[in-house]
Amino acid sequence: MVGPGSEIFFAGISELNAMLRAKQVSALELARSFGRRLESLGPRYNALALPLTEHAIRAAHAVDAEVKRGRLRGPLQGIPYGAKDLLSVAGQPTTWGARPYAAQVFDYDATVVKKLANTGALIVGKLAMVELAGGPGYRYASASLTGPGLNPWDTARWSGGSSSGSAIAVAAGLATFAIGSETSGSILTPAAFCGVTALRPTYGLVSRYGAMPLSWTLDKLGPFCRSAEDCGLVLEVIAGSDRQDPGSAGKSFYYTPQYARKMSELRVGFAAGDFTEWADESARPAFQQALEVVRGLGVQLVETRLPDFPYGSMVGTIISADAASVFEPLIASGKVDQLADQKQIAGLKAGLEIPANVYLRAMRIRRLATREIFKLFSDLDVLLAPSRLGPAPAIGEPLDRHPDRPAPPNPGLTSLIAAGNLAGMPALSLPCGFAGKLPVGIQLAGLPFSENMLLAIGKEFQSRTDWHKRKPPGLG
Amino acid sequence: MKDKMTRRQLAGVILTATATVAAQTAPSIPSNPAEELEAARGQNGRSSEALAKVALPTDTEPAFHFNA
Repeated sequence: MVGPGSEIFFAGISELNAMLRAKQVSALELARSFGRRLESLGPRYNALALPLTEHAIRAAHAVDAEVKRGRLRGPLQGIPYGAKDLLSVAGQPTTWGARPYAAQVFDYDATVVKKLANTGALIVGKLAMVELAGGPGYRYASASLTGPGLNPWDTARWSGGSSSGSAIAVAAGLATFAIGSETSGSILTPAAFCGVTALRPTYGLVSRYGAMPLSWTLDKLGPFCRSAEDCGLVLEVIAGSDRQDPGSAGKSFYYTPQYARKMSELRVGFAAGDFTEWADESARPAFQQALEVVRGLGVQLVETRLPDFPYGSMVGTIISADAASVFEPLIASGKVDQLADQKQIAGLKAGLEIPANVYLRAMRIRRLATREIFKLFSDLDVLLAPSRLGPAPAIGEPLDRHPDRPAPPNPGLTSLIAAGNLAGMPALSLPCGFAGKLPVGIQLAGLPFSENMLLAIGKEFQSRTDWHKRKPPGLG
Repeated sequence: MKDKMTRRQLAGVILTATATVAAQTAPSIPSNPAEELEAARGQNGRSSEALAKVALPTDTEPAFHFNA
């Protein structure tokens, strides 16, 4: 057997698994190669929280023995992956990206880690994140125990957060896939900024047992991958009922691209202004081109907009109050002041003061807003918008800086991240081109449990584009 | 060149100017923890005001999911 070449680092799941089954590569070689690469390149981007190469090597021996016996467990068997450092791995530090929790160790695996181990996937490392997954808000990219996530496309730019290491690892070929989390934007943002494909599943579809809580009715776990198809393969493994997660929807997911509806039957809602007036000028050509590719799939594009609700105020109030409750012991102990970001520290403290009636009001308006958003789907199958309106900001730039131009009158779907999270909707972010040398992405969002449709459109989009196959400079 | 503006054009100019001024006078970055805490409270207050403007039917339940 000849050792693996550098092509393995950017191969998709099916490709790697086929190589493994054909004995062109062993799980041990994959564990060693990816583990070493993550250990050597991860720190360059502040992407690595904890190497687990030895852990992966031990698991790889078992996988190779199984493959030799013909015991094949599915497409993730022998595939190296990384997990955001808010997921517990028994006996290993789980820092939540925050100094006060630097020495924290759990004695059990998170459900997703356990499910992935059961299918033979190899965890090669814990991946860096914004402290406390961003909590109620942060001002600087440096809001992390491991420093700012540096974008593999340009290390003077931010990777996006809070799942910074998860996006970097996939973009830089340090892992074949990664698990991240989203409360409001933490999967879609880094996916778009780093040029990778990522899925935010329906609320409750993936168990959060063993994951750091931030906001109980908003937290979700999802995959970062090389393609929409890979997202489907990972979701099939990590989804499912779990009595240990009170938010579990009690549903499984089966990736069934063979049953995808015809593109010509699909009605896709979009707001033209999102791709022009709202978008950063540098990103407009890429967004326009992406819109034309989507049109070229044969779908029916229909102008729409979100119902008028204060989405930002709703999601901000809910996350602030929930996070303050989750981290009340941290605040009371005074250790909250050890966090890196002053805005985050203040936000947690102020969150304790949110009156119950304001929190309940936010949750009641959320009910109304969700109902109105779902009404859009009586005429539409999916919503389409830029994942973020522009490329990654520079490291050191305040992330809460107000745009220096007036907002266009029609809000279109620009609040789709907040609205989609409030309504528990799944969303898929697809790389769709570049603004200068930085990637940008589009998102597809649908009704709860419509992941197969989003993935089918994503797969079709990626059959006509090669943005998801591009590699950052110097990493090919 | 026309030297008179229609009412619609004038409204557009005023709205644009107002938004630009608002953007220019956006709160500056707090320089110490006390200012930061006040800024966070201010943000929560603005959110509360925005939420208060939404008409809410009495029978609207909060969007909690609870299974007994």
